[in-house]
Amino acid sequence: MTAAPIESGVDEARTPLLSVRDLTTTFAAGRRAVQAVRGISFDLYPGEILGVVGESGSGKSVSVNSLMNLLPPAPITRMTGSVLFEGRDLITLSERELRRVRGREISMIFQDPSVSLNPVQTVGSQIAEAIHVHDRKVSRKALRDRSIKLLSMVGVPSPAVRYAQFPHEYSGGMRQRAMIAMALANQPKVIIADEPTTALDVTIQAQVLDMLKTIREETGAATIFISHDLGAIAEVADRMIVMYAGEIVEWGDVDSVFAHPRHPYTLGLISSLPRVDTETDELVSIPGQPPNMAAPPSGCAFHPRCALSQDREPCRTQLPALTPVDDGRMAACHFTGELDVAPDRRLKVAGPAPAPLREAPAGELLAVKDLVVRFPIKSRVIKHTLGHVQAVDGVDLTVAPGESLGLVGESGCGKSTTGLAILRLIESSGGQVVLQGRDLTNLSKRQLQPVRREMQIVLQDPYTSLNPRMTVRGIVGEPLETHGVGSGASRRKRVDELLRLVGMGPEHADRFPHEFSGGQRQRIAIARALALDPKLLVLDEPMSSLDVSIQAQIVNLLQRLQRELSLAYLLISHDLSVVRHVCDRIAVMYLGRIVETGTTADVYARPTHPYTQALLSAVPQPDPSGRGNRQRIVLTGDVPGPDKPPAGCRFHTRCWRAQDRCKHDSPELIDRFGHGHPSACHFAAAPGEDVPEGVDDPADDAVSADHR
Amino acid sequence: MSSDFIEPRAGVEAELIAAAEANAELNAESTSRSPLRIAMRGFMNHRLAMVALAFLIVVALLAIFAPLIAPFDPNAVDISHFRQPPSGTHWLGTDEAGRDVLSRLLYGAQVSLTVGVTAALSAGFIGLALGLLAGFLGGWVDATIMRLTEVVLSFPSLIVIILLVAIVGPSIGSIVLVIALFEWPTGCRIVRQVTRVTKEAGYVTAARSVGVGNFRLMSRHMIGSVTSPLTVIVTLLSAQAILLEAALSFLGLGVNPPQASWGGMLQSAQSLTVLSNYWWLWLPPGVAIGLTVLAINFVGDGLRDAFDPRQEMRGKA
Repeated sequence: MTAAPIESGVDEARTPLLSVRDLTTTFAAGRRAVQAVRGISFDLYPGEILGVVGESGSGKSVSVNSLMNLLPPAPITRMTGSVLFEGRDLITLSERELRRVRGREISMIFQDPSVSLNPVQTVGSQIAEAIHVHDRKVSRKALRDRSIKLLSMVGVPSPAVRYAQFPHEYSGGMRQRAMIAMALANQPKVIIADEPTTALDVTIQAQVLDMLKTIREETGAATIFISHDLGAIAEVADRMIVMYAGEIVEWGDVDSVFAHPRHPYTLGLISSLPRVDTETDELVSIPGQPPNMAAPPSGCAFHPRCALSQDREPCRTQLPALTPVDDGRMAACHFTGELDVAPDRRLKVAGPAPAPLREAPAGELLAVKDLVVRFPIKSRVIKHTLGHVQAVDGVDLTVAPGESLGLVGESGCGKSTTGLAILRLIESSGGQVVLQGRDLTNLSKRQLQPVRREMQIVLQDPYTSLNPRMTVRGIVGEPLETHGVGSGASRRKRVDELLRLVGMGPEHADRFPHEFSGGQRQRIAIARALALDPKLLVLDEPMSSLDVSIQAQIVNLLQRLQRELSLAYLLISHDLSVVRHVCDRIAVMYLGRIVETGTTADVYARPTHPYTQALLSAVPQPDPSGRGNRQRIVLTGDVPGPDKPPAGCRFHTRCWRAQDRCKHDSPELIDRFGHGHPSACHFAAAPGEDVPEGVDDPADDAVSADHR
Repeated sequence: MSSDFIEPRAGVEAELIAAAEANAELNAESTSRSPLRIAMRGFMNHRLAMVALAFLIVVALLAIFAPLIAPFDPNAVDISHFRQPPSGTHWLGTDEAGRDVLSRLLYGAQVSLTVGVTAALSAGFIGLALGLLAGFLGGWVDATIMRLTEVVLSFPSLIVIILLVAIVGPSIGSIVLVIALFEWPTGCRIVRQVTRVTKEAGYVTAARSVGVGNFRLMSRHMIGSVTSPLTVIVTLLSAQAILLEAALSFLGLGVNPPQASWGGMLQSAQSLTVLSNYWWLWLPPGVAIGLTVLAINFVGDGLRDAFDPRQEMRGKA
């Protein structure tokens, strides 16, 4: 909290467009009051992209919603402080006056485009409406023209056709573009983007991030970009704010914040991220949980989790003010000076020494051969089958004992379906799943029962994967009960042991899931999966719904468990950084097929399939220093629907190397280079290498690729 | 102040408040609290529902202890004192046969509440069983059960009920049975819907991956999520059943005379003279029916708020 005006380190001469001073937002929750934003001050300058980063509950969304006064009215919400925008204080404006500001001068882009568009109106009419409400004089024709122009500006192909379509005819990425077009409709001076790419796939995210930068250049609008993803912030923002527990803990330009964090929390966040571009040792996770805002810790809100504080006196009692550190940056930490000592940008925390490398796994625990999963499309009236969605189309995988295989791909590529089909939670339509030499595909339910002990699943969302009406003991003990393992007392002991194994304690056993945070719930889910001592765990995006600092805790836990119990993992994930960090081998999936597979080191170093290359280059990296010279391949277009996959190579519609042959001739997954690293592309080549065997140089055909 | 005045407006803040509140509650109390107890507490904070519940408890106690409380035998005919206005001896006057209205009202409560509660419970039970089967098994089982609910719902129920009662003969048992047979589809549809959603929940997938069988899946994992909406439905159904019973009795198809029931007492109001001159004959049973049904509905609303599905998602940001 600071009352002092902030001196801009960027440009002293410019006047801020938006000036926030001592903003607090308090929600009345029953008899209690929760202060979600606790006195923040910052400035937004014309034409800049200001990144706001923080974990859930850090108050980042609430604070920008406060700027626009989009929160429930008093007495539920109370706001103090000021938000100066062109001489007006937005906090004190009436609802009527605010309406004129919203959408015209300040506009918002929301997280989930699928719920932010009205499904029963055409996209075009919704954009036109956004213009119309602020300018009634525009003629119908002019409205239409301007809307179409906006659509083409945000990169919607054939905008005149798209104008008349409904949201359900748009793909997710396209919908987000339409949302952005709406936000741009009245040439706003400020755009607030609240997690605009969180619901999107990596390759689509890369398109949208690029577009945000283009828009800034074309319209000169200032953007507040809120994200939990440090990579996305590093990719687009000029300056950034780090929020924790409703306060700004660090503030500065992106390059120097990433290079030299001046607050232990920022440092912790950066160190807890696995990297897609380099090997990482054990992740340094921030211990503990994000604070409970109904009863925030005394003094510095971060001190219970801070490795620097070491429980020193001022941290516990005194709230550190946001004070200037060097070159126009600010940090709120009593001991910010001490942070410089770690030269490798990692705060060393005393902990167990990293375990020695595991032996290379050998043998075959799981073998998936030519797995096919088809879902029938049924007509509504009479239930006859119209066609099939080929969710998984001939997938081959092997997992050795104690090995971890990463299965990556974008949403809808069939990776989760593959996982469920391996466990026979979905019936496959063809192929084999062989576990320890036994084909599971034709086993009856009864025959399958003993096999279930060997493999278990950990699901993505720990909020739905635990029965809210059962105690933790009931949940973790259910597998034991189902398989009749042990008796009452020995089961109790086993549950306690499992809870300790995942970093929780027996004292948690008699509580209910709603009493735990997301990370703790995921630990409980892992404990349940381990109850029967399985050999194989299918991990279906186990980290993706967790906060960054918690994600690192779970990654570390999974790695420790793998070492201690010699588990094999099939890690299904869209997060290439996590896969690189955790997995020995990787398989890349696109539209139901594996396009490339090999050891993690190999595939990341020399990706040969164009899709893998695009995917890898699209991952935003938490390192702004390299963003100028990084080669990004931004794929055009969206993933085609799995109900009508393209003929030939399924990737040819988005591929810059595609030639006529790709349109009808489906490439096989074969080892084209003798590296033990097969890829399914006729023109496979690692970046910077020639396509082998008398094939034309793909660079000549780089028409649809956007190399920068 | 109860916390239910916060209506969810934009997701973010509502969730935030909910999360913070849940955490605060957790920290405030060291003992573990089950979802059921949280719902109970939500219900207790619902003032209107608590008042309504108190009223219902009083009505139920009066009905149960009617033999001890009632000043007269409800069926004792006293020709010399018929249609007497309320007085010191007959607080609510006497009817056309000289029977004490207050006593009949108290005994009538027994019939109304018994029919209401048992009919609704039976309807809820049928609905639960069929709804679970339909939602969980799907396919032709689902299709058959759903067609059945549609058939039942498309009957003009009162007319068919009248017909059935006429065939079976009026008695408490037959009324309960007939009402239950016509009221189960509401519960069944809700149960089916919730079951279908729950079937896709992560914890059911997780349980299946462990090898938990269908019966246990239904009895352990499904019933839990189904009970809260079903409780609300059964509560509201019991109000409907009370009304139906009153309607049947009013038409002379209720319990056998001279046994008292609220609807039966209203029967006398079919005459215009009674309606205009002898208010104490129809007003007390009318008010009793109205207040009881209203109170049950309030309790139902309170339960619905307490079992709010948002609660299950608490803490999700």
